[in-house]
Amino acid sequence: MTSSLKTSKQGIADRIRNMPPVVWMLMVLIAVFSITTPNYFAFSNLRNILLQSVSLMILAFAQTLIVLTQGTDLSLGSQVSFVTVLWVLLAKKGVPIYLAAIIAVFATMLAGATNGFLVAKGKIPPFIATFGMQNILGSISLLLTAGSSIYFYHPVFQFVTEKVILFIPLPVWIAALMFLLTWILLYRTKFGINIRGLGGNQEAMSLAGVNIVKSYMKTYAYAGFLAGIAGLITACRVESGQPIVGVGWEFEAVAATLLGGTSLREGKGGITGTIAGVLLLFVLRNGLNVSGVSAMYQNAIIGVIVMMAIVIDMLVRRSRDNKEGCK
Amino acid sequence: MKKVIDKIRSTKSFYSFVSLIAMIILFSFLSPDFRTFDNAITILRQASTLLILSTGLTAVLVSGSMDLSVGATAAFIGCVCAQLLKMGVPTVAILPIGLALGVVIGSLNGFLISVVGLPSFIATYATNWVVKGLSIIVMSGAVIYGLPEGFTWFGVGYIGPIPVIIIIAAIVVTIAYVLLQKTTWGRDIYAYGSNPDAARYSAVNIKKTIFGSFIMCSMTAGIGGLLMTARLNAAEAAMGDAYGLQTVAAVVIGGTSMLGGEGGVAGTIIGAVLLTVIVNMMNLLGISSSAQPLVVGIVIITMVLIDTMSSSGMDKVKKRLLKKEA
Repeated sequence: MTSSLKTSKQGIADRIRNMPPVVWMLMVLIAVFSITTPNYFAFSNLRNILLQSVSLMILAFAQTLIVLTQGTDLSLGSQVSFVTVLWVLLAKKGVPIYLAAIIAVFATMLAGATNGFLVAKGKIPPFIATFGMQNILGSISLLLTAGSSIYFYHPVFQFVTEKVILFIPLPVWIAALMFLLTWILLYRTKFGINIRGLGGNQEAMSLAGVNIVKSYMKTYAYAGFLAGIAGLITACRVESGQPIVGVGWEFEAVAATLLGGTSLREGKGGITGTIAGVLLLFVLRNGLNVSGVSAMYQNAIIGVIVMMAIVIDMLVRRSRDNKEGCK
Repeated sequence: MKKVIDKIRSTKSFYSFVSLIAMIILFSFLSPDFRTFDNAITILRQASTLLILSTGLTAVLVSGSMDLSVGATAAFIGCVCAQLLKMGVPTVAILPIGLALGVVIGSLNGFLISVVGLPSFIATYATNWVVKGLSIIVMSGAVIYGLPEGFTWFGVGYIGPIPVIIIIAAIVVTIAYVLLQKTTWGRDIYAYGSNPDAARYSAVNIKKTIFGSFIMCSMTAGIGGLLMTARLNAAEAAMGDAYGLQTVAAVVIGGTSMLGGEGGVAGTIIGAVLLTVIVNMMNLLGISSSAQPLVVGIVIITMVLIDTMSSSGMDKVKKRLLKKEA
């Protein structure tokens, strides 16, 4: 609490100095790619990066909330796949497309609430509970589609991916809306205080009359809601139900969250840094693509840079803590 | 008599063991194919790879850390060694090379965690990413197959009626058991896992403990990767993906706590065999591979749920034991 009060009183200079290191790294990367590759810094390419990052961005907001409670949600990627499958399947069966979307998102919220219940009431480590859920949802998606993709055409898919408002594609607006919603929930409501409390002293919370089980369930359900929205946007982009489209996304979301400065140890951090974390991953991938690095080497290069970024972040944080200690 | 029962009940993997026995009895009634000697050997052979991969991970979890790089490390070492075999390196030289690579990757993890100070979850996730990328480069996106017979013997050969891979798994587990239970280094891992601060004040060499557990983990991952390659008679960059989280599940089902300080290799045997028995039975019943993760997911959640629900009851049992001993 005191730290948030302190930051609000800081001047702009202090704020810039205390930005997560990932922001600096992001700027350096963009600068490097702009020099090495002509047309990199073009508006169309930057817009492209933003557009590609939307689904993971929304998913990473969800993961950030879970990491703030000192957990990780390994089922988020499978929730995305599940939503694409369920939405397309229901639409194919004749359910009106908007109703089908609502049902699909509701289903992932239910999966999230189950995660939260298992973690809070069953006292299962989040890692294991959500890994179990990942298996279950992945399996259901495969069963619903008989192992392959299912296709369905509806103009709404094209509308979502191609509509541009004020030079910015609609999915980016949706991501911005999700950011705003999550930010308000996290910093302006009791629910948000509870989320951050879950990562801190739970005993104190429960003594203060907060229902721990309910808070966990709400947090995981909200993560499920965000995963659902990410899934809907993904479905619009691939125009089909893909049972394995989200495989591994949960871990990329964890990486983005950590790069953004949310800590697995102290319940510190927030979703603003996560944006920079996600952008770092996509700027890297896009930059390597545009500058013609073979796909074979990309995985290792991104891995090494992510590792370096995490190490640099750690060292910078530590030296900052030391300085504060001196004051 | 009550004391003996209490003692058995107070071991962490008691409920997993009971469930495993119950499943074996149930499946034996359900399927005549299940209760054959051949099938028992098949199960053990299938469980061997998972067990070896999970053995080192047990040490890491006991120390209160996490290693997400097991699957990728196994695949990487399998891939490198397969390439070397193809280049004509003799089979005798492969094991030392595989183990050495394990030491390198384990040391990288140990360095990131104990020297840089990263949480193990993050450090090993980054390692996982890098190592996986390296595997793709090593394989240049292709699959290698057709390895020398002297090498594949370790994966598919027999000594008498028993497959070599089971014998290797038994040796690895025995060594790990002795290291963890009977050496100071092993006890230090338990001490550090149950209370890091107390361990530090008791002059436990923290760096040595962390480095040791992660090197052990990557070495067993390497052995597992080699055996995987030998069994498949092929290597592929993605072959470890499915094992990454399954190993964690096997260790946790075996009663090792993710918070550290509790459990051990003996429980991990139960965890690995239990997961394999379930998959084996589903194959015999003809359940599709799409549906299998559904069952596995439910089993993982249920087993850990039973474990956590019973642990409050178990605490009472432990207190009773302590009283009696005093």
